[in-house]
This record gives sequence, C-alpha cells and structure tokens, in this order.
Amino acid sequence: MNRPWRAPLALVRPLVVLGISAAAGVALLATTHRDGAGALIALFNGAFGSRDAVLGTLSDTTPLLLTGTAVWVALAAGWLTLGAEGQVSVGALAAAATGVAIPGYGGVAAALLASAVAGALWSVPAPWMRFRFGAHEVVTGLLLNFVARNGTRWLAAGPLRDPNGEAPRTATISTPLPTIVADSDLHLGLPVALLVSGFLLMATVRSILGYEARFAGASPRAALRAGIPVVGRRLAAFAVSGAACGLAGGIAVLGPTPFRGFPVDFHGIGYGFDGLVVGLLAGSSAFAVPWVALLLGALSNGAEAMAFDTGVPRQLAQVLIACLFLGIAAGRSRRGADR
Amino acid sequence: MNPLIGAAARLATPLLLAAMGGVVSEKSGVAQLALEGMMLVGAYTAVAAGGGVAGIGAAVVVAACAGGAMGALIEKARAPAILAGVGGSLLAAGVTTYLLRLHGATGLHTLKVVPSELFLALATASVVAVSVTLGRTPVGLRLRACGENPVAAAAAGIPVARMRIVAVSVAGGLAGCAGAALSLARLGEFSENMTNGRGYLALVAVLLGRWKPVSVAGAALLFGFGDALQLWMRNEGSSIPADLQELLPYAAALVALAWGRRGTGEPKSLARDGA
Repeated sequence: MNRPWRAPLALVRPLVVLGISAAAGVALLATTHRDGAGALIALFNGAFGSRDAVLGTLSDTTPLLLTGTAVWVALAAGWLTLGAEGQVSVGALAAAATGVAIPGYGGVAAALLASAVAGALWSVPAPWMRFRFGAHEVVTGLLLNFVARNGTRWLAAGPLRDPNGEAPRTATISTPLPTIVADSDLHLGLPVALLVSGFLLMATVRSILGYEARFAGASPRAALRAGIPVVGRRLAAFAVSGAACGLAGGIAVLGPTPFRGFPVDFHGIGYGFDGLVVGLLAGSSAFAVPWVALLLGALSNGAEAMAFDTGVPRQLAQVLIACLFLGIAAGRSRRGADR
Repeated sequence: MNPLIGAAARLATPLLLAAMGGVVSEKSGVAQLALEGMMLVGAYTAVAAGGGVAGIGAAVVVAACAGGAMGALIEKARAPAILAGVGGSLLAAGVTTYLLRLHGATGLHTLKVVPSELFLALATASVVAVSVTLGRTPVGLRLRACGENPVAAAAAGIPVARMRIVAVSVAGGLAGCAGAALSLARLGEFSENMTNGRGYLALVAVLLGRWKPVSVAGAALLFGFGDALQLWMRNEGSSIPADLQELLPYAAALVALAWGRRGTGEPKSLARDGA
C-alpha cells in the first residue's frame, strides 16, 4: 500500500499529464481557429481574470470536490465506479423533492441529507451484484446510469412536476442555500463540500475503518485472513462514495442558481465523469483531490466564458479533460506481463 | 415483412455491428468500453465525408484508426483497457460535438442517405464473418489464444500485442460502420451524442451472449425488438410514459446480467479490473 500523504511529489506526475493534454487541446484549437492564443487567454481570464471569474470557478469546483472525493474513496477500496453520474442525478432529484416538500432552512438540511441517502442507496446495487452474481460493477454502474437518467426524467416530468410551471421540472425551491459572498452566486454549498470532502478523505487515510477498507480493496484475501469483514467494508466504502455523489447533486439543485429545482434534462451534467477524472488524476494522493477539482472547475468555468467571448465551442474543455483522462490511464500502467 | 419485425431488424443493425466488434476485441483479451466512442466517430465521419457508400467507407477507416490508436494505448502504453475505453468515449463525444458546433446553427447534413437494408446486409455478413473467423480459422484460433492465455500464446510465437491491436482496430471499423448506420440510414444527419448509450448496450449484448457471435447477435436482436416494440406502443397511443419505456432495455439488461452468470465463454485474460 502506498502512503497517501506524499503530497508535493504526487503533484509532479499530474502536471506532466496536464502539459501533454493541454498540447493536444491546443492542437485541435489551432487547426480550427485562427486566433487560438486569444481563445486560450479568454479561457484563462474566464477562469481567474476577475473577482466574478474566481467566484464562478469556485462555484463550478464545488460539485467536483464531492464527486472527485467519491471516486477517490471508492478507488482506495478497490472499486472503479462509473455509476457516479447516476448517483448525482438521483441525489439531486431527492434533494429537489425534499426541498419543495419542507420549507425553510430545516428543509434545506433535510434535502441535503436526503440527497446523500438517495445517492448511497442508488450506488449499492452495483457492488451487491458483483458480490452476489459476479456481474462487473463497471458494466452495472453504466447501466444504472441509464436507468437513473430515464427514471429521474420521468419523475421530474410526471409525478413530481411543478403543476404551475411551464417547463417540465420540479417546483422552485422556496429557500435555497444562502450565498456566502455578497453580490455573487457562491453559496453555502462550497464550505459544506469542503468539510464533507475533507472529512471523508481524512477518514479514508487516517481512520481504522478507512484503513480496513483500503486493505480489503488492495488484497481481499489477506484482509480476510486478518479478520477484516471484506465484503462489509467494501460495500460501505461504495455506499459512502455514492452518498458523496448524491450530495454533489443535492448541492447543485439547492443552490440559488442556476437550477433551484430539478430540470428534466439534469442527467448528463457531467459531474460524475469529471469526478472520475479528478479521483484518478489525484492518484495515490488524497491531498491532490481538492486541487485537481479546482483545476477542472476552472477549465469548465473558463470554457464557458471563452465560448461567449470568442465563439470557440466550450466542448474544448471536454476535449482537454478527456485527453487528461487518457493521459492518466496511460500513466496508471498495469503491472506485470498480463493478468 | 411484418412492420414490427422490420423495425426490429433496422433498430438492431447498429447494435449487431458494434457488438461483433466487441466480440472480436474481447476475445483477443481487450475489454471493450470504447464502442460508444468509436460509433460516434463513425457517425460523424460518415456525414462529414458526404454520405453515401463513400461515407460508410470513410467511417470504417477513421474509426478503425481510432481503434488502432486505442489498442496501441492499451498494449504499448499499457493503459488499463477500461479507463482507455471510457476516456476514448469521452474524447470522441467532446471532439465530435466540438466539430459539430463549428458548423453553427445549420448542423451537419447529407442528402446521400443509404438504405437500411444495406446496413442490415453488412451486419448479417459481419455476424457470419466473425463467427466463422473466430471459430473455424487459424487466425481466429490465435486470436482466441491471446485472450485465453497470452503468456502461452506468446510462447507459441504469436505476436500477442500486435494481434490485440489489430483486433481493437477491427472492433473500431465495425463500430464505425454501426455509427454510419445510425447517421446515414434514415436521416442523413449527425446530432450531438447521437449514439446515446448504444455502444454500452452493444457491450451488454456481448456479455449476455457469452462472447459467442451467434448468441450475441441474438441478444442484440432482442434489444432491437424491445426498441421496435416501444415505437409501436407509442404509435398505438400507449399510456406508459416514453421515459419509462426507454428504461426497460437497461433494466432488462441488469436483470439478465444477474441471471445469466452461469455458463462460460469469458476470455480468461480479460481484465476488467486494473484501474
């Protein structure tokens, strides 16, 4: 097992991967646009260039902190989870429904709790099917994403639809999460996400339960010999990961902007897959998770501004992130000849 | 032909083609989660190249190259196949959407649509070809050896890495053809993320068919029939919401994965773990 707190050194490899993927993105930009440099400057300014830009970047970072932590915790327990996207959607819908049902700040708290519980519950079928039937969690996770997509779309357009609204979505939440910086959309979600993410990362790295979960994930047989309830610990780690994803969705819909409710097309918002990039890029270092989340948040916020200013499609950010992802994949090379 | 059966065959065509690609790749020992992305690449290329038979050819070639790159990333840079596959699909979605946006509001169209019968014929041919090649030829035997026991295969003089890269490239070509079937068969249009999870469904068909080409084709046809049934029910004015109907194939696949565990056929070196 590796030492997850080797902080600064662990940041070197991600920086190399970052450089390569940035080069790939710039190559795409250069072949399609004449003023590529201008677009990149617009991207940077959109991410960090002004007070509003920085606040926007922090807003975009908030959900990625949680999904990134979720993926990292699951990876530490030996799970590769591709079901995060669905867990985010399910958590978001649960939060929206609870937030509408219960008014006031009590309702917000209840909604956050509901989103975490819903995310955890939605995550469990995948590992359970692995233990019970041997069906791989990557495949079941992907399938569960589609079930979540259609299920939440149906609920938001049907039984839970706002009867007075024009667009198919749930009713607007009367009390959203309060903002924490004047004249901005940055809301209480960020400190909540920081606290939860910090707690989960610390618990995974430093607590006995976290140690047992990592042991169980790294070598199940040895862990079983050592008297660790392997199935229980790994299931628990997966459920915690699902809860963090659900909470990410809950915070997204409970914020004052842009949703303040659950729109039918919420699924596919990308927090889950971006979280996968965060968790994998952070690699063995828990310390790197928030920084990588910040990087991706900045990319997505900056790309929005770039698209507005220069007309370069904001999918450039998605291309950059995918290149990052492939770079990490190559960096995580398999050991040994073949398994 | 009964219209329901006809619709089922038409809807199953892309799944059939992509699933055959999945069989070839997985039988060689490379877990295949990039079908979705390679289908998207094919769908985009087919329309961007102007449609028609030339469009199909371009889609197959470009997607096969993408597959080759994916294979090299997995075999030469030794990236875990699952991560490479998911990352490749993300990249394909990003790049094709980026390029589509450059066309502005008009989108990407072609008038040269191709009759869906041609794609059905190609799909049928691919099932026969994959089945015969894998089961009855020396090349197929070597390919399966790479999947079952790569160390023994290498000791017997088979170039395992090269074999696998070619297999993933073939998977790319078939998935590219599947993408062309999506974009060229009826509309002659490429839209954002138009594969919409079909690549992953094709992989599920491979698992359900236990890696046997004919059984996999059966599973793909079953998915196509489910789709056709949905369309038919919607036309008949069924009261079940469309979202729930669309959910059924995925839910059915989950149940089938739990139920269909027994049996064999899974290539032994297929490492779906390795993150």
